[in-house]
Amino acid sequence: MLEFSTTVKLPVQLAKMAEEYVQEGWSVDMNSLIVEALRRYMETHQAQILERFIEEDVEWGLNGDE
Amino acid sequence: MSNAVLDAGPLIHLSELRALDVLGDFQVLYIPPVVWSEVVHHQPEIAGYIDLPFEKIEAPLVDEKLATFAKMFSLDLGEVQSLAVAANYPDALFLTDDAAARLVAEEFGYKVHGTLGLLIRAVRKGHRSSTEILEILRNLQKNSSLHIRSSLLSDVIKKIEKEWKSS
Repeated sequence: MLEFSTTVKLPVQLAKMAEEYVQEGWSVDMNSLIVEALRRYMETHQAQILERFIEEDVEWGLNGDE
Repeated sequence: MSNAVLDAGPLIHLSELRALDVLGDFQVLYIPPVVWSEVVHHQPEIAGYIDLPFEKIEAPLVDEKLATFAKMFSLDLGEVQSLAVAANYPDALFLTDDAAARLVAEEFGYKVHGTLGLLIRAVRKGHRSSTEILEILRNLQKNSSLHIRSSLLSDVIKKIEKEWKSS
């Protein structure tokens, strides 16, 4: 699988909680945990994302400056 | 005048809505052959629509970043090829109705819009009257495969009706 690498800065408390999850075996490693969290975020925010796109389209349609 | 790179969604949806003319003021509409084939498969009559400045253009090689995002967001071949073409035209609009493709396009810094924006823009550009566009929007779900939640579409219609009445 192709992968994209990036660096993220986590608040210390959040990082500690994430490490505990990994140590307790809820996730294989920190990378897997973050990928899973991102996936879940995408799933749960899909409706909001779609609404944002529609709002942006309405605004552009009405008042765009191109 | 603007240029745009097209994914299949807006062409299919505008064709379903008999509103392809709203693309009429774009200078060039770049479209990868694979997207064109997808559009013609869904809307064969579009092949004979010669009033629009389509330019079929092969996508460049997909770079690693785009390939990764394509995998992460489960983009189809047409979406990936459109995004690859867009890389060569950074000032062009990227037109898609696919949420995942739109997210990736944003990540790459492209200006992205979809069918809904194009329809509303048609009034601002003088291609269609507000009455015509409101009629299209009221029948959007009946006449096209573009999915917008009914209550959200009603809110959009109310908002633009109000805007157009006050202008």
